[in-house]
Amino acid sequence: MLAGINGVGHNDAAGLKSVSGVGLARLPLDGWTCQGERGGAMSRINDVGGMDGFPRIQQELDEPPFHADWEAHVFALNRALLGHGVYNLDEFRDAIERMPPQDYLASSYYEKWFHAVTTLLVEKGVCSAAEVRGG
Amino acid sequence: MADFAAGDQVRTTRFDPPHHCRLPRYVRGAAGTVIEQQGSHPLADDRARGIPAEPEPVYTVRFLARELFGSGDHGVTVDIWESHLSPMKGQDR
Repeated sequence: MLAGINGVGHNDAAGLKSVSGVGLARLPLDGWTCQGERGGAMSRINDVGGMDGFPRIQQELDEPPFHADWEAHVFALNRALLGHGVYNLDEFRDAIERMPPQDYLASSYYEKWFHAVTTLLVEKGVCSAAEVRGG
Repeated sequence: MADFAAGDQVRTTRFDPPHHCRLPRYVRGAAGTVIEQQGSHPLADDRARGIPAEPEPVYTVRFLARELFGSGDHGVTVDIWESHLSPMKGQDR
């Protein structure tokens, strides 16, 4: 399946994959990402508008804002980091889109947010991958 | 780059860049009609890569569903940065 995605390249930031076990490292393809390391042009896994083959969207009646406490923490952390200019909203979206396709498709909404926040914290030098892993 | 007005015929960029891009794949390379301008905003494609970006016009552009998806009598409107649009010449329509 993955062979159909052009320009798949290796990502040495794979250390992030063991972070708290939230939505990461679900498939045995650690270290692979759709990031265009080879410089080729490609569509990212998030850009699925008009694509067939997905199940119908399941709407949840009286859906709560958060399904677990950690989701609210991720929401607040992201707002704080955006507000302090650690990264901007487009960098945040980009970080989600750079998730390995198999992780992107298997992750919930806030699992994607958590992945982006921790990825950007390391890339921006706020903390090391080891510190993120350490919790 | 050109400033567009309501009613102008435009075509979107065909290029599929290897970075964050706010032009959806399903509308790439498509011909549409400018409906109105939605203010000016820095190009998200640049901001996502840490490249300084000045505000540029963003337009609501209408496409025909049947031209994008092969069927449908409705229109599809997408807000698109000017960088992703080019004016359509007579022979291009």
